[in-house]
Amino acid sequence: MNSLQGKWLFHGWQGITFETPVDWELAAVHGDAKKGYLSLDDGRMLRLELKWEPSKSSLDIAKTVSHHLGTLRRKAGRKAPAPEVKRDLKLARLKGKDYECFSVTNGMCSLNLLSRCQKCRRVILLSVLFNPDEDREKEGIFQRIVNSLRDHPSGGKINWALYGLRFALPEKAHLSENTLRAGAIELKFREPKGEISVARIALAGSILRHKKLDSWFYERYGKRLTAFRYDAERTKFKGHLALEVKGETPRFRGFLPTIRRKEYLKALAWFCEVMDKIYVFLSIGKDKEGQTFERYSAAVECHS
Amino acid sequence: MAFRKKPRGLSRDESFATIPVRNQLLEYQEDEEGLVSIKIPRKDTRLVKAMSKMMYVPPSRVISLDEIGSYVWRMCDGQTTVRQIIDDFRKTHKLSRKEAEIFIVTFLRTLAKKGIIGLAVPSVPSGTSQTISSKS
Repeated sequence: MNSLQGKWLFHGWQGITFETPVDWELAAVHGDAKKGYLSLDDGRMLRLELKWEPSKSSLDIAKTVSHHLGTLRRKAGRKAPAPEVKRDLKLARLKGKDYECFSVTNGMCSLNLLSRCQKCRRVILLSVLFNPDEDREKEGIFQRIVNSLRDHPSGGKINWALYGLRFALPEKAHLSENTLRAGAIELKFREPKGEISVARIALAGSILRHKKLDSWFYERYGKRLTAFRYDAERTKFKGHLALEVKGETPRFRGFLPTIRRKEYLKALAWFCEVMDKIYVFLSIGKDKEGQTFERYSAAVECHS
Repeated sequence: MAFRKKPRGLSRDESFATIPVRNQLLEYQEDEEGLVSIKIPRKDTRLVKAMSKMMYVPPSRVISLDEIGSYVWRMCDGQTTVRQIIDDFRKTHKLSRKEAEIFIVTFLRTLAKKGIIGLAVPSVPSGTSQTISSKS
C-alpha cells in the first residue's frame, strides 16, 4: 500500500505537472498540448488517468460531470450494476479554477476531479484509482495529487519529467516527436528559432565500457551532424565526463553557396556515473548565441 | 477438440513469481570478461537430416550474450524469480520499474522461445515446481 509519508515523484508532461507516490510510473501517453491523455500504473494496476482539452467558451462543470458519468454507465452496459457515485466532494480547494470532485465506486474506487482553469481555459479530468483495501489513505493521496497539480506552465518555462528524466524548456517549445523505449528516452521539440532534442540513455556503463563517449555520440547523432561543420571538445559538466559540440552550416556546399540561412548546432552529452545514464541536450537553430541552449541545458537533472 | 476451453494463462503476478531455469542439455561457457556463450545443438529434424546429406550443416551453433544478457543468464540459477531478477537489475542499473521489467521480460521471453530456458511455476501446496516452457 502507498504511504503518504513515503517518497513522491514529480511528473511533467505538456505543461501539466503533478506529484504521485514514487512507484507510480507513466504507462501510456498520447495527444498533444491541446488535447491528450496520460495514465500511470504501479505495476499491478492502473493508478491515474488524466485527460485534457481546451474548453468551450461556456462550460458547465456540473453538467459535464453528469455527462461523463452517463458515458461511464453506457460503457459499462445495462446488465452491469450501477456504480455508487458521490458528487460535490469537498476534497480540494483550488484557486482560479471551476471544479468538482466526485467519486465512483464499483468494486474499485476512483476519486475524480474535473476542473477548468480560468487562466489557460484548459479542462482537466483527473481520475485516481484505488483498491477497496486502500480506504484509509485514498483521500489523502488524492488531495496531495490535486494540490500538486498545475495545468499550465509558469515563469515562461515548461517542466518535463518522466521516468526520472527531468528538465525545463521555454514555453514556446512544442513537443514534435517522442521516443519512449526501455533504456532510451528521447524527446524532440520545435521552437520558433529551431529545434531541441533531449535524450536519456540507460545502461551507460555497459555502453561506454568498450566505447568512448565521443564515438557513441557520433554513432547516434552522426546523421544530424552531417549538415554542419563542427568542433567537439571533451569537458566536464556537473562534475561528469562530457562532450560539447558546436557547429554551423557551411557557407558553401561543394562549390555552390548555400541560400538557406545559417543554422547553429550546440550539443552537450554527459555520462552520469551515479545514475548510470548518458544525457544529451542538443539544439539546432538560427540563434548564434544559443541562449536557449545555455539556459536550459543546465536544467536537465541527472543525479540530485 | 474444437470447443475445448483455452487454458488460463498466468497472471502478471504469477508470471513474475516464476523461476527461470536453464536448459540442462545446453553447454555454455564464460570468458574472462564474464560474457557467456551458449552452444545450441542442431535440431535433427527430417529437413536438417536431408540437408546435411547434401551439404555441411554444423552440429551446433553458438549464441554469444552481451554483458546484460550474461548477467541475466547468471541470474537464471533455478532459484531466483523473475521479480527478483527485475528488482536486482533495476537497482544495479538505476532504471525505472517499467524499463527494468521490459528489458528482463523481453529477454527472458526470447530465451524461452529459443528453448534456452524454461520457466518454473512454483506450486503453492507442495512447494514443488513445474516447468512450463522448455523446448529441447
